[in-house]
Amino acid sequence: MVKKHILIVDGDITHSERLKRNLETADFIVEAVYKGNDALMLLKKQWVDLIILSITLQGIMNGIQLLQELKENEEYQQIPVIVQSNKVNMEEIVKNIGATMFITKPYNIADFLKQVKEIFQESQKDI
Amino acid sequence: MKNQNNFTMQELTDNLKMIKAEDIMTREVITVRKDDTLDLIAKLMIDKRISGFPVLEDDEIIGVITANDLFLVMDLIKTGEILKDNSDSNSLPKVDFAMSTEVITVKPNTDLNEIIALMKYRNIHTLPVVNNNKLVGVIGRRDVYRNFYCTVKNIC
Repeated sequence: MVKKHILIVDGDITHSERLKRNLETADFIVEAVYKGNDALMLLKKQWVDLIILSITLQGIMNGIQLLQELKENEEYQQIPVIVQSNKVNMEEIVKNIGATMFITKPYNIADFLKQVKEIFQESQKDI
Repeated sequence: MKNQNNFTMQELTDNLKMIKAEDIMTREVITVRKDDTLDLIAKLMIDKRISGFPVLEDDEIIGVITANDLFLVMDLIKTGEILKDNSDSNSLPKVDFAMSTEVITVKPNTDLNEIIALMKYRNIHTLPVVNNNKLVGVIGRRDVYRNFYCTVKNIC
């Protein structure tokens, strides 16, 4: 089976690295960047199957701005995006913009991995 | 390897470890409530020259709000994600909308080397200092770089 590519975009390097390790152990191919601009540059070079995006990023662009850019871009708008945040009231906003799922930090990584796998199973059904 | 002031990197790290949170924190902490409005927070940040506040409820820290959070809400208003054209000013979001609820704190004896790593790797701008579950101070990025550079120049 072809391995799925996941891109993590999160300004919290410690959380991002922990999540990356766990996803790699679950047999995903994972890239992690900390700035919105770095995510856009990476996407120009490489296709990903899922983006895990934090609202708080390093650099000028925040996660909401990046989500808006992704959903306005024909090339990227079909990529499912999970938004994670330590702000509890953002679910409606990010789902209105087009996020597939919202999760509040901190969260249980094992439960999160199940949800990631479910998203891929759902997208398989759509094909 | 030595820097301009003839520290080895190990000596610099050792010096940073000697500086504790309680040495650099602001003790007179201004706190805010979750139902305070964001325009009040903006005014407080300008008047007090502080870029972040702990949010307290029943003496417990339930969040932190920073200048970055105000910028995020500013973007949401500008793009019409919140506060549509016909909204009145009373619907301006409150602190609990924008604050971070995953609060990372340090103890008074946490050293500056660890504080720098926390701020850098966890992308933190305002760090509450807590002793026995009680808020005793707050450290902003300004406190950190002021103390880092005076340590490097050996003028602290």
